[in-house]
Amino acid sequence: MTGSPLGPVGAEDIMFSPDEEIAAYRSMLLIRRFEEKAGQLYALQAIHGVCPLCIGQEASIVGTMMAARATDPVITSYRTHGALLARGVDPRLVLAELLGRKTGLAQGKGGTVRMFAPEHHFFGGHGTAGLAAPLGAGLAFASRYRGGDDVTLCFFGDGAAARGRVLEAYKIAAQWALPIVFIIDNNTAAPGASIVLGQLPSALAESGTPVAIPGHQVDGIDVRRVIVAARQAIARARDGDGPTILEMLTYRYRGHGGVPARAGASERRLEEADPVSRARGRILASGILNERALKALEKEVKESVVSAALAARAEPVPEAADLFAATGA
Amino acid sequence: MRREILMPIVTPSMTDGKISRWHVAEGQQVAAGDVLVEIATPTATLEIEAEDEGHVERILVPAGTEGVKVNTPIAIVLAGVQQKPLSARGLAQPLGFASLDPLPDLAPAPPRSAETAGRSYREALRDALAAEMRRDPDVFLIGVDVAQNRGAPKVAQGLLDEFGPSRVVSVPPIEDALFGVAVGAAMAGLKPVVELSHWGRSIDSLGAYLASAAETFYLSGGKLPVPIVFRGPNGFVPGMTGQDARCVAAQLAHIPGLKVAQPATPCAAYALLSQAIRDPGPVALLEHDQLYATREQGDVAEGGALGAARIARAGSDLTIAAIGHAVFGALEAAGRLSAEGIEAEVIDLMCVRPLDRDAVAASVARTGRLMTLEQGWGDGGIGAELVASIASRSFASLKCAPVRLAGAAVPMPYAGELQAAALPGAEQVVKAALELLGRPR
Repeated sequence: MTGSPLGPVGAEDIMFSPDEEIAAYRSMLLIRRFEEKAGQLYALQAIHGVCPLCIGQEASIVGTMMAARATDPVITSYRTHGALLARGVDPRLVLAELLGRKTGLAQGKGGTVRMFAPEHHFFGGHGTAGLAAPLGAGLAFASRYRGGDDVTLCFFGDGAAARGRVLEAYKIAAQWALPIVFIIDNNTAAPGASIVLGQLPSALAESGTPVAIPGHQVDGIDVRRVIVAARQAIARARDGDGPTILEMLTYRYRGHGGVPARAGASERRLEEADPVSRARGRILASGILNERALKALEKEVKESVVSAALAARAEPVPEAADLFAATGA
Repeated sequence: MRREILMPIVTPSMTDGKISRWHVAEGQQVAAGDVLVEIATPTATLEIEAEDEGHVERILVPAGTEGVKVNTPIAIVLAGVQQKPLSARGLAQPLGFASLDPLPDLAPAPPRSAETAGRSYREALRDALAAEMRRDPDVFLIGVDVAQNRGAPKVAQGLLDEFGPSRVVSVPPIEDALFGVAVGAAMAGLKPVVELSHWGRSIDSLGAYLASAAETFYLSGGKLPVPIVFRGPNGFVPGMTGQDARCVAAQLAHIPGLKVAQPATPCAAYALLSQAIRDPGPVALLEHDQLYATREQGDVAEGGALGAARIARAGSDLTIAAIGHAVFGALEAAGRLSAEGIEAEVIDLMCVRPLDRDAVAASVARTGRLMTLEQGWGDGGIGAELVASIASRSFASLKCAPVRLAGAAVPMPYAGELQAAALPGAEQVVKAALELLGRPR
């Protein structure tokens, strides 16, 4: 890990129970296999429109969710799939939605960008860049209003972080010490991004400085470091001390809709920046699971995604009459 | 013109202050720029000057008084130059809150009875809000400076005292934060009432949030309702120009999932705001600067329903379908037409979405003639929608081609004469009605 970007904790020997290591790996692997499947279905034109994948960003999502309670509200940018799965939403429902099925999470109305699972305290899925930040401040406001101590997890990317509305959200969150953690997935793949992992400095972690929101740059490739950073930020928010910004340095492998995010990236570099293979290596090296047990786990995860995709593809598409269901006005 | 001098806010945190000295006496003549009074707070002093030539009618709070709450009237000055009333040009109530005449702030605590005896439009909105906030702890008011300064339209008076700052939530003037917090809170199941300083000004920063609030229920497959009300003055404000006086009524008709109400009277304001708050989806309530001070005797139980028009005046010769402030122009014109033997039926549309086409069709079935009247632009406007709708469903009822009257297709200009010319008034209605009936002047 020498030379990798450091999180707020420098400790190399972060202690996790074997159960936590396995749970994190399983959850990240499920997202990886799911996204690969979604990418295939997109390439086959079974999924239309856009299909923003999060391959390479799994540790940021899984680590943050593992540090949170199941009731802590989650809100994201248009990159929804990973967070939905990490929250425990059935992969079949998400795939059915991507495939535009009547049985999908949003009955074929929302698609990839607009998925909502309020029963899992997941509040979308917002296509407009940076919109999750002020809306997330609203979710945090609601927790405070009701006297609860839930902490909102608000995910957006390095591109959205430059939007004015994000800075306004920082301002109000700081002023009211709202219980929220802003997680910037700096996947270094925003259009025009010039940040290269581990080489050029990025200061998005400091973007809350004008309103005194503390921020930390986190090695978003190492799920253990993500969990430790998220625990600190969530505990701070839960104690009423206000928001924190976590800049997750990640490396997204695919562009929107499965197009390679970067041509010419070396194999070695990709391998180093892969949170899933890194977790696998650690589990193997520490002897938590042997190769055979790992293979069994991987087979099980892969089969769950394959069967979810098969089931989802067999499900009915909406009828024209469904167009006017739940119009609300 | 009677002008109230209010206890000013010298510093942002100031809630009250001391009148340290009056520089004038009751009955004294003053010139613009003369110092009237000196105000002191623990950290600052401020002299208030006369804005205009005139004389001091009354000093309401004597020198030496401490703890005078901000925005309390402290004196009344009669301005020497009388302003030409705009009502001659068809504007029924030329009163903005900059020139208070019936003083809404003088009404004490919000009345708890449902009676609306002589209640102003502004008080009706406040009373509806207060009643809903008492009924449902999830309802809260949020807006720029809505607590301490009672918001730009001054509707929130008394609410901070009753409900406290956790339910009368002041936001600094950063609208993305305001709208984001409100819509996010509604997604979490709270019922925010968002006060806008003016629809025309706010609509651009509001866009993404309004769309999000309106779309989410449908796009989530009916899973996530967003119960929220956006309310504030819309359209014409005397002396304001461009987007600060823009009418967004027709624009809001193009946001699927959004209900849009435009009450013209205090009773309608009370009824529609109450229903908007109870509605499971987002509702836009378009108020009007020149209606806030208007009063009405009436029963809020008969204030109307979201999506239902009302007959503001019965008549048999032609139907004038109007909305918002324009209803008063239509009524004034109907009165004048009556003197010429023409009985116009005035339909107060009340809502842009859902638009009560049935009520208009029923009226046209009786009168055979249709005129529409709105202050917003005519292009793609409410009148355009109504005329198209009636032409396609009630063509046989029409004795002549329908007529649309709307605001001039220019950004609202500044000069009073130009502003009056930009809005369709009673005079134009009378003229167009006479032509419609084949009796041109």
